[in-house]
Amino acid sequence: MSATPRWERCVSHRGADAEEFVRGYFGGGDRRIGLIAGAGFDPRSARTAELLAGVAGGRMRALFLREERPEPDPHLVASAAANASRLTGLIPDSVVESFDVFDATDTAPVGGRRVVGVLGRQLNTDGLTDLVIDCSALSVGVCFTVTKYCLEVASSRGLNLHVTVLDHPGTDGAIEATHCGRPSPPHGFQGEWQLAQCANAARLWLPQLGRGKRSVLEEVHKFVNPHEVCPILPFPATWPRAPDNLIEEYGDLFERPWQVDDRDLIYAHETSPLDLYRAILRIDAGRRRVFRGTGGSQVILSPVGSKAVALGMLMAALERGFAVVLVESLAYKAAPAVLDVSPGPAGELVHIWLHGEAYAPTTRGGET
Amino acid sequence: MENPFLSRAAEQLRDDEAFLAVVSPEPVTHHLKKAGEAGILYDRLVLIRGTPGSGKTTMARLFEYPTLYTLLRNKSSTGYKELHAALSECRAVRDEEPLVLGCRLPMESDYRDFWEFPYPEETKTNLMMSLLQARTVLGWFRHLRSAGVSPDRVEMVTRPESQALLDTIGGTKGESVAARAAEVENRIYKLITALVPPDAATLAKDVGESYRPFDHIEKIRVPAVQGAEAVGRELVPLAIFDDAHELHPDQFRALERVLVRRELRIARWIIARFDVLRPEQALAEATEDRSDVSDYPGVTVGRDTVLILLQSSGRRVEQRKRFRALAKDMAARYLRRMPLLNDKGLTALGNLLPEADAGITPGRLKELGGKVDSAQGQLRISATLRAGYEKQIRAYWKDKTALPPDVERAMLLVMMHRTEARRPSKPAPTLLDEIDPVEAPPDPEPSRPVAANDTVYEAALFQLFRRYERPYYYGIDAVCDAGSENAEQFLRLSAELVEAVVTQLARAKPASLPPAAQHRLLRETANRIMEKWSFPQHPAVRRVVERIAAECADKSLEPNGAVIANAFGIPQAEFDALPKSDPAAARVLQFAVAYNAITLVPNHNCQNEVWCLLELGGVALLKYGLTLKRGGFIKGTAARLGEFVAEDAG
Repeated sequence: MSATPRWERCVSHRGADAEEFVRGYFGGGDRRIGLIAGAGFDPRSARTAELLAGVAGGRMRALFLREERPEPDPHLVASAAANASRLTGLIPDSVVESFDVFDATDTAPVGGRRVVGVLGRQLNTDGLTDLVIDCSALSVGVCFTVTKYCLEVASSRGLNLHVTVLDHPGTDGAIEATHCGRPSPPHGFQGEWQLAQCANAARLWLPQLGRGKRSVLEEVHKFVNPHEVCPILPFPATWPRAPDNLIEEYGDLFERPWQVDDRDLIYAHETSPLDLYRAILRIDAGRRRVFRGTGGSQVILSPVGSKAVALGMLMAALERGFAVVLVESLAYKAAPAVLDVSPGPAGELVHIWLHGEAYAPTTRGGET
Repeated sequence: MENPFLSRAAEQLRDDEAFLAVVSPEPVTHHLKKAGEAGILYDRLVLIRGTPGSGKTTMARLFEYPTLYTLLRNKSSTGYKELHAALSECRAVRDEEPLVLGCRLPMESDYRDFWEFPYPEETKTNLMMSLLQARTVLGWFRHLRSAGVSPDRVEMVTRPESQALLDTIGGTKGESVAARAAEVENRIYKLITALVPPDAATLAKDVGESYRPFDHIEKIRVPAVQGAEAVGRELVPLAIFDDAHELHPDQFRALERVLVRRELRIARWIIARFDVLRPEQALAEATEDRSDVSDYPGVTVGRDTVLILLQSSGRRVEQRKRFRALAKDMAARYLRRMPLLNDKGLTALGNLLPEADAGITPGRLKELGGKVDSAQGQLRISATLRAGYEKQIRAYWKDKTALPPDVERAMLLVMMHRTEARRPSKPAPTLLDEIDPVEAPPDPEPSRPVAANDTVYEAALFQLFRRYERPYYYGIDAVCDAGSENAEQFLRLSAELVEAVVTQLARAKPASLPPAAQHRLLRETANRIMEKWSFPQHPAVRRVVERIAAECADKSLEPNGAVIANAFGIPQAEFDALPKSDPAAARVLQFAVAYNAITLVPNHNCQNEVWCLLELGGVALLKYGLTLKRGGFIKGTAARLGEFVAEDAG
């Protein structure tokens, strides 16, 4: 394990800076871009595609992923279909691929493995210089697996890898999810905590608190059965009362069964994924030293709140091989007003450059 | 103060002493004693099935080696004696020694992933079985180590015919067997966590040769001290595969096929919910009549398997009585862990939930009195008949306590309506008939005399609850019954009541909760529990429960209270055909049963017809305000059930 975190110096942007970066960087004529994005009902589906199509229309192709869940709300299906058609209109060299998030027979969450199958069949990186994953309209479990897969592809083929998300906690909160009740790791993020050799390790669970996610986190807690819990609160937050509201919502769980006191709380900047990434790595480094002689330490992450903050967890998990445990959403509900894309999507674009030229010289793969 | 009721699942307690302190021996004795005494718990595949919270995992944990070890270390402690006796009866321990080396493997983790691999079914099953066996072996060693027995002091006792294959499991010496198991686990785990699984062609190279310790191990020899002499003691290795419903149904059957083989010498249990079964199998298991097998309650013994159901089965009155005793014992164990209550001797939940002083407000009572008087006029009940009924009600009540006026009036009202309902019908007057009220003949007597009895009393209580807001759900028995014979559900419902008791004490108020408070808290808790339903098919289950509840409420609120219903009856023949005639409804029903939303009562005889009753679970009964008393049902059909399932399904 390297002492310096991989993304200690990370190229990342937010808001107007991110949009300026996209226009400037991808506007360069030598960029050949592959976009992977969700083609779901989420009103944020098209923002990154629009930006990219505006500056690199003829130099990009796209793979749009459509997550299929059992008995979807017809309004959401209609909205997803409209978004898909909009996306394919923006990027003609594109394909929309559907995959089941749940197995049709036993409703087991299988989205991660199924999306890897889709990527294996459909992701063509020939001639590309940059891969962009837009997580805005992908569920967290799926975008974690997609990013890990793409990081391996980018590393082996010398591509630049970027992750974007249109961060809008309001939209995240307005989309109501019914969870499937089965905690499971996104594919590729199983970690090692379930191996017999880690049976005596001290398990630390870092749940990102989110509004309305209480039952999800209760299920995950039962599954992980951690020795310690350090909940992650958004602070500073867009809505200053957000941490207080979350403490109010989760207060009784803090007392019992999580047994959390105020020294255990982790405050993560709501608009900066890197803040949480660095905090997690610091905590892990400290614990590794402390528990080295008593079975080791295992850190388990649960990103269930804002997607931008979840990216910080994703980076930490990619770097240190932490386990991630989630409860996949079986169904979604959203008010028509939330799905309305006519006023333009709300929120700020977050961009993180995960791999490529910014960090070390690479040979551009696929160029002729 | 910590409320142990809120932690609900006893198996979540990490510390074995704390776990043993709250576990009641009753389920072990009830479900496993006979099978244990008969020696069939450890020589063939044992299938344990139950709803969530029915105590499956708690039971499994009791048989894990560290738990047995802790129990034996503290066996003189008062609370452990009964458990020791129960486990002795099951032949898990004898005197000071454990007899089995149990290891529980939760199947909720990564085993389902094998079924997503692009390999033939046989390959996937072999991979899963190798990982399961490796982890079980590692679990046995881990448990022995926690009891102070290191692998180098352990030896495998293997089948004589396995000699040539012992290298595949690392031989017979503990250290090498443990090392081999760890190697297999690591190799297969790498395969599971690989983003893209390797080609089938290179698989053998990645995972190595086949690994089947269950085929070779008979016993595990560990050192023991007898007097001054060190001797070897042989333990029966027990593998408990918990939460096996998390597997894909085909995978589950593959696991069963492997473990059912008679040549296996280790003890093996599979614990699962009903989810994993096909609807026809699940519904058949849930409705199979086991009432004749009085020696083996809920147990079906086959040549190769033993099926143990932690559901209601057999005689329902006895089941309810048994659960009430279990729940009270469990509550007492939990209350003893709360110093605030234990120090005051408040360790009987029943004493904190009094049943006296339930009633309605004076205004409501006056309103009820007016309704009785007007009903007397409308229904043409003579003053003599009314006086007779009032006398009957007093006789029914006897002198146990003062007859509550609201109950008296409500019973009278029900009896008046029953009188009307039982009068022979007479032809309706035509316009040409001249009716002289003075000369009109008196109304005929009812075809059957109306008596003040339990059914009238139940109807009166129900109507007082629904129409006059009289508390209905109070007292320890109501809490037990609302638990639907499910330990976790009982604890969830009790938790809020206990929390309120603690608050009362903190405010220097009497500890006991008045009926109105009990009633309110139970209904609020039930509401919250149902809001959090998130199991598979829960929207459809919720829909079915809601529709059944609405129809039951309509029927129960009829003024004569003929039926106070909480169940939906389907002719048994239609029910038996349901998996084929309406697979969607059968699947929904399977999950409703698996998650305690509905209990099936098969072969219920009523008016020369045989019915299968879909009885609503306790939580739904509380939420929708229906009776907890069993037996009343509305007559329906499978087609009607299908309509409930299909409504709004989109």
